[in-house]
Amino acid sequence: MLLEVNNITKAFGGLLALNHLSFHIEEGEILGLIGPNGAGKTTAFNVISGFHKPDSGLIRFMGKNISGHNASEICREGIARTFQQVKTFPTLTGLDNVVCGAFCRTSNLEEAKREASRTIAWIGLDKERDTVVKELTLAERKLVEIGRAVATKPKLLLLDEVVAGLNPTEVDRMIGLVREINKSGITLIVVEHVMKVVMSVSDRIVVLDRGVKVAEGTPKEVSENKEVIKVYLGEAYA
Amino acid sequence: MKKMLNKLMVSRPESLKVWLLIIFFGILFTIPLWVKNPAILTIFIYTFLYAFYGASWSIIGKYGGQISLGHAVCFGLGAYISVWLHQYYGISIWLGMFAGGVVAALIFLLIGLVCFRLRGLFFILTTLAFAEVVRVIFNYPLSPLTNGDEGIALFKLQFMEKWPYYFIALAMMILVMIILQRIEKSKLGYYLAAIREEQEAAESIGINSVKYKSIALTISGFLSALSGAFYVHFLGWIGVTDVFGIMVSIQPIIISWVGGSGVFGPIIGSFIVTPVSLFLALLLGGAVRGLNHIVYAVTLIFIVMFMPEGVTGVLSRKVYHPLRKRFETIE
Repeated sequence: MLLEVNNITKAFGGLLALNHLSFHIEEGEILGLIGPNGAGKTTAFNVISGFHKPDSGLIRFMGKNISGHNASEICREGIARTFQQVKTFPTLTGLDNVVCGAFCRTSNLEEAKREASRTIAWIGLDKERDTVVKELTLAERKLVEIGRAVATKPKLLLLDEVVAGLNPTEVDRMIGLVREINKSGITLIVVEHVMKVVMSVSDRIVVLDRGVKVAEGTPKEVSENKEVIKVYLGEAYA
Repeated sequence: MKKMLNKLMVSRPESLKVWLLIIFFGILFTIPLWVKNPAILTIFIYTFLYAFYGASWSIIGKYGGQISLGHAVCFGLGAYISVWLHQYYGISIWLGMFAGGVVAALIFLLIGLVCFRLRGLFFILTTLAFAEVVRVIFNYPLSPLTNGDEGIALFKLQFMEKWPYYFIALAMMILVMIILQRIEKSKLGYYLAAIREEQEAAESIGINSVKYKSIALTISGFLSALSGAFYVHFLGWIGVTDVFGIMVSIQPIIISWVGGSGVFGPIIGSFIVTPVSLFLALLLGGAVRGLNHIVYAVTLIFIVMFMPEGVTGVLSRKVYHPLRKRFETIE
């Protein structure tokens, strides 16, 4: 088990965002995390990646308890993430954005630049590498953000709604990239709303509703699960 | 030397930059040979000093993105510690400056660690508050030692002539430019940019923002303290408000904002602001008290409203980039 989320609870004031949530992910998998709006998917990401501390429960990564570690520590421990609202560094070039990621594993500028160049080439961003990121399109910025995360050499990568706002061509490219990243040895958790993407890319899917896991299984199993249908479409369709 | 030659061969706007620098510093180095007027040399010395101080501030203020209104703490501590060590314990000024820098940096770091818990405006105000607290402490409880605002005249001046101070200040200015350049092209520089632009994203790629902001703050504090030490040893007098007052905290900010970001920003800023402010103090200081402060404030408001990127920003946009594009299409 690469990551074990064990009985996590997280409340914001009166709102219970995660309610004794448990799931796990094996090394090499692509796990899809789905659920209606407000189900707690991004909160789960925030807790795993160290942006929120869980109120109770524990998170184990590669056997080590990481609950309560802060975000930068967790990245150094091997978990990287992207954000729903793309947070690239706007006045830096594509290359420099990725260099910042590469610095996670080295203190040498030349080496960081080499690693970043390699990552940029691999992702297919060579044209955009010297462009200041705020002048790039959304799809390009998403790729830069992913490249930056990949440059930190994570074992686990959390992608938050990575195809949101992309046109069909860009979506296909993104799906291809996600598979390439997985093939290179990185385990992935993918939060997505676009069903076609989740179903085609995930090995396994976990369905959340109101902070609780309501279903888990292969894409086929989940799509036929009555609970899941109820959660998304309501009682009448189940 | 090799790097300079390499740069000359890169591309024409770049080599133009290098030539301008060579000419500029060449002239500066030779000035004491043909300018003997001590008043003019003094203006140059203050210009170099405030360029150094402005650049020191910019390490945390511009590169770090944390606007500090409390740098007077470092300036003043650097001044007092180096004076005490030199005047009362006979420790050499150089060692005293260094010691002052270390102590000021450490104290400033402690203050910073408290302030870093606060965001934006609150950070700025808290740094200001700390600076004022230190000023009051030096003025009242410590007045037997400091003689408050009446100050202490330094009974041993290091140099009788102006030109040694001129070259020391010039060397300091060049040194800080090298430091800024080294920071820009280093992990620290990249990380500070990341923290400045998107702190959350920075954390997500392994950047411990408190750690790196603290490093920037410590370097900034150390160098600012050196400015304070130089200032009092040049002036020959040390008074509490003169080194701990709020104008001491505002000065480097104006210089950095007018000049713009980057290595040359504080230099350009100081060459514009310092001579003008010295003339203003001379002309207006007697007539209407505080008028030069008003002029300062108006300048700062103007810059922030109409030219927030400063001179280097404007130059970069209007001169450097169009020039670069022209050369790219020719080649």
